[in-house]
Amino acid sequence: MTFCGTIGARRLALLGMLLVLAACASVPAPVQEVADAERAVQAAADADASTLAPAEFEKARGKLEAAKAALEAQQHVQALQLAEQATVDAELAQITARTEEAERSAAAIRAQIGNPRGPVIRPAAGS
Amino acid sequence: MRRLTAMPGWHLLSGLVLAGLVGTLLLAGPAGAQEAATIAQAQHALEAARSSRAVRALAAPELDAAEEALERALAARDAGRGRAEIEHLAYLALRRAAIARMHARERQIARALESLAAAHAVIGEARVLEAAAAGRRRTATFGWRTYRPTA
Repeated sequence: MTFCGTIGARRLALLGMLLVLAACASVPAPVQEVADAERAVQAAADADASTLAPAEFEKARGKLEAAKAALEAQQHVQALQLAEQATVDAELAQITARTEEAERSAAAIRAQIGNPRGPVIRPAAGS
Repeated sequence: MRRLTAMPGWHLLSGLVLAGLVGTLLLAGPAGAQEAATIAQAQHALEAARSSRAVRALAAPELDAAEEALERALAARDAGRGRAEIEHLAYLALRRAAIARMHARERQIARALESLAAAHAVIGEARVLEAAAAGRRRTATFGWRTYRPTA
């Protein structure tokens, strides 16, 4: 009887393992998504996001590393989700960095325009 | 049945199944609440982005992408998909809404920069002209030149 129980438990365990394997097999390895995330993080790095948007950039980089680790561990669903999140985080880091840079440029031009050491612009004598 | 229940393996298995069911019931409430919170957060972010005229005008494709992402999250919730998947899709929607807002901001600044650069050029030119005129005035008044334009 114990033997029968053991057989039943074994069958259930085998069924469980098969289900897990089937679930893994249904999601293909997200190689393309991880590569896309890597490109997005690189583009953010090129936009100097590590300096101009450090929080977003670190989030993207951390998730990319986690996605690569999950891919290596054959955890395809997790790898896919992490890669997709890394991509949007990197896109946000990149655009935040670009915006920050544009704001700095605008501030520099405003400062030059309003430079008190520059000659005072007065209306022409005849006007 | 009596035979089956007398088996230690069966007891263990039924205990595990029962524990799993109880655990699922206990976790279902808070998990559902968390999913709802994440989706509500994404909906709020998208609503805020959508209500901005600048975002609608300057980041329409990004706004569309955010709306699409939210629709995917809502569809997953309505289809009773797993919590992790729903939260993942809601997170993507939330970030896409932030991207749309930031794109609009960047394009606004880019436009302002163009105007500022044009103004800067005009002002710079005016300063050079004014300095030259001041030099000419001094030359006319005192008979000697004090201004030498370098540019």
